Amino acid sequence: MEDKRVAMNIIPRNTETVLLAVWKLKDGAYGLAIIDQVEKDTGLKWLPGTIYGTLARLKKNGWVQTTKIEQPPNQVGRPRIYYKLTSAGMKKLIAAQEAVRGVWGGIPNLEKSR
Amino acid sequence: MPPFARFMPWLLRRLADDEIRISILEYLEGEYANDLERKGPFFGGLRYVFRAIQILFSLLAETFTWRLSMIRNYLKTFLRSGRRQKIYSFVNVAGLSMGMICCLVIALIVRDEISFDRFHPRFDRIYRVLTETQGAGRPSLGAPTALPLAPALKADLAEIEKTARISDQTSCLVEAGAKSFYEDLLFVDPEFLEIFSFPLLAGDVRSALAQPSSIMITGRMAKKYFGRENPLGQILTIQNRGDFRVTGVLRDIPRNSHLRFDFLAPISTLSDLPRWTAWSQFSNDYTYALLSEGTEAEALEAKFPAFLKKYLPEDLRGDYGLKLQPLEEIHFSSIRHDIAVTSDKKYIYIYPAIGLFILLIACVNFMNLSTARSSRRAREIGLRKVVGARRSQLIQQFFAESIGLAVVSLLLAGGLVKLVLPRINQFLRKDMAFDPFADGGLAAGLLALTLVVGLISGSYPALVLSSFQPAAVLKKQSIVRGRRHSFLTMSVICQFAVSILLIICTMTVFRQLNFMKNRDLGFPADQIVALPLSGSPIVNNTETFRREILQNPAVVSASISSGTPASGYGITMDFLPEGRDESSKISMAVIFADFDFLATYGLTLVAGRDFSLAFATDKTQAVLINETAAKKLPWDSPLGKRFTDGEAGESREIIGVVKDFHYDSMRSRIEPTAIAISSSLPRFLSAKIRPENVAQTLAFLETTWKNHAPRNPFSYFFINEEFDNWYRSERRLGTIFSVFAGLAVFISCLGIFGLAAFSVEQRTKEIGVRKILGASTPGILRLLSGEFLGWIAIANLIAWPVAYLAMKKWLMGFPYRTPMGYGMFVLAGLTALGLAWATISAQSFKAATANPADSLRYE
Repeated sequence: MEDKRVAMNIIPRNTETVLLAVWKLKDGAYGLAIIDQVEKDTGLKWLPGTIYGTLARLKKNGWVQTTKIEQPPNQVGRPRIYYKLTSAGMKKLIAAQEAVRGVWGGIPNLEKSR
Repeated sequence: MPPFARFMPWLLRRLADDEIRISILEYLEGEYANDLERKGPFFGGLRYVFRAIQILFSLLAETFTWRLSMIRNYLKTFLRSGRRQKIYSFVNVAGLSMGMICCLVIALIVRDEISFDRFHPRFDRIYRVLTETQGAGRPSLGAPTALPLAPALKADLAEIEKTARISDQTSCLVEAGAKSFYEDLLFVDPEFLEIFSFPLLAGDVRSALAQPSSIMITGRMAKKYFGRENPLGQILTIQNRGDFRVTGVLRDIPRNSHLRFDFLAPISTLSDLPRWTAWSQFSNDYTYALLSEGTEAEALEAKFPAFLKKYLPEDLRGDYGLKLQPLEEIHFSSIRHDIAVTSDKKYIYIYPAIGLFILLIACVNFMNLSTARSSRRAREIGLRKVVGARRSQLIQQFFAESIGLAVVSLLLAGGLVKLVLPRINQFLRKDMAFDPFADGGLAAGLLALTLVVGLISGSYPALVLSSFQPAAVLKKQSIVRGRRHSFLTMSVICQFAVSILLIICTMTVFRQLNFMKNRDLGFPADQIVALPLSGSPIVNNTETFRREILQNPAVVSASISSGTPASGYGITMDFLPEGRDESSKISMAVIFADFDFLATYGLTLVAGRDFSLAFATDKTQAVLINETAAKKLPWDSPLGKRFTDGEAGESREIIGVVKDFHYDSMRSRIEPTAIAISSSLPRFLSAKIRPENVAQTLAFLETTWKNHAPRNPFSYFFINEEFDNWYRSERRLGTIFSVFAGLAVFISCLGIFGLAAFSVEQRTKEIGVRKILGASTPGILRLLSGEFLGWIAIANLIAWPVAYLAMKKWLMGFPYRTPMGYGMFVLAGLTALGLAWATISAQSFKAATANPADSLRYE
């Protein structure tokens, strides 16, 4: 179900984090890699269900697409699923960045200025 | 392979698409492989399971998230609106709860009534055989049958698999050691326990009644006579019948059985009775039959005439026929001389209708209130629509609210029913249980009730409110008034019409009750106490006993007779007026009495004289008749005429006519009655005593009794108290109707209360303006209540004719009935009007006396 909220370009933080991780990993965005990236970015170990649940929803919304890539012949294992941002997803990310920048723009380091 | 790994692909297939599934599986297997290396198979497996469950859970939550959050939102709104508008919430919940309580109790009662006798496994093959006689031109059915009938039926008709007779012997003296009581005993064929299944606590059902001197008793009788001792093998002595050995203990007979008994003995014990082989003598003997599989009752009935022809002597053949009554009808029948526990079919038809009506009234209240208050919620609705709510979502929200209210009402109703049920059980002599946690059917019914009530109540407001146009609403244009007015009006009118109808019915019932209680019985019934003599040695010594009683100056008069006015028409005989032929035969009730009967009962003569010791022939030749009998006899003046007793051939002379007196409840007509001197059936001693020191007089009677009959328990009853018992079922009806009426009125007033509150709120500004322009407080009250009171007047006009017809029909069932005065109708109407006015005034008064400045500032 498309988010019909008026003038709400801010997206939930979980979704944002996962989406950004997918973007950062470019062509290397598969399940485990995303999980590791998110852990690196936030400093917290997320439960796999949260990430996969988000990924499932992103795919349903059409912001992310999956591709099955066969492993190169020298590696063992089943074919891997790679995640990639769609153009809609990209648009969403750009709008979110705008919105966040608007809110956070110009805010000095809050820790320092307490 | 990790545990449950086999199921994962299948589970995931349901929750996510293919590629996500593969992605997840890859992840899980990868991590498991790592864990195997580092942590070993046990922890590896454990972590696998944790991860798997967490992923499944998250995927599940993803699917339902939006719906769950919507439900949370609805709940918030619901609670908030409930808290804010406490009055309306209270009105709604109160009304719905009352309606539900009504429905629940009635459902329990109906279920109990229908369940009668259904615990017998062969329920649908069990029939009772009834005797059909020609009486007064119409065939009438009677439950008693001839004793030889059952064995003959079994022998001759293949369609009958088994038969069993029951003989009901009341007030037999039963003794065990020091304890002795009067009990009712059932003498039955052993097949009785094969046709019916009454579970045993001890003993063998096949052999328990095989021996002629055996007896079976219920658990509570075992406790009564033998305390904690083992009852099996103990001896019970039955008066005139000897010793019986207890061979079986039955579980106490459940309340929903048309047969209730505490003792079973073999009917072969009664084989010495003359009617054992008589086809024309009926007493308290009943025949039951178990039909073989696949037999049609009508087909079997068709065979009865031929069957009877074979067994009945020539002269009896025209007189009677046989009919089959299925077990499921017995509880609801009203057959003459029945021992079955019967109940009115009214319970099954009318009460559920009333209950549903009342529930409907409550739902209608809810509808009216919600729709009337819609303007308050208009802003909320408009806003929801603006931010994108679809109409279907709004409808869902309103249904969620109404169902939520229904659930709260149900909880309240359920709690109250549980509290009130013991009183109801006591009142109705039932044993109903209300345990939704144990009773699956009940729980399902409750759920269904809640859903139905919620859906019905919520339907109208949901549809109307969800159709609001946001633009109009947010601009605060007036939405509601106009078109729904008719629905509102109609529902208020209907509610009050039903309430008024019920009030009138209640009043009529109580009026008839009063009428019957206060009606002249034909004799002064107070201060007459009767002692049953049957089964005591006094029957052989009645005159001595009577004289001894009379020695006490507190006893004004005493008489020995075969019956009392409170015992009903026990004996009926046919009499032939002298000089007339067979066709003039009259059936009359007969009382065998003594010289003091008229004096003791204060009966008055309208012609002729009382029995008198001065006339030697009075003992054998004289008879007194009552006015009804005199009218039936073919002579203008019956004094001096004679008539003959049909069977014995004795003829007697009428020496006096007694003023009619009631010998049975007011529900039966006074029958032609004859009183003759005879000591052949001394069943009662009746004594007229002085009103002072009644307790002492009773003590004296008891002492005298004990001197003459030490082994018989002393018992007595007052004639006028017995008469009161006759009307127990009418009294119950009155109470039930008054409860219904009270509920209906309460709910209707609730409805008006809510509407009035709302109407006042709506018109606050208008009232303010009017006050400023000079309107007086009473004037404003009149304005506010005028509308409603007009509707109630119409409700009266609807209710009156319906009530009149219904009550007239009911009263037809009484030979002696109270006139239906107009006063009742007017009183009911005024009551309704008064209550409604009071409800409305409470609201209106506040508004009418408010400071206009405040009213106008009200926003």
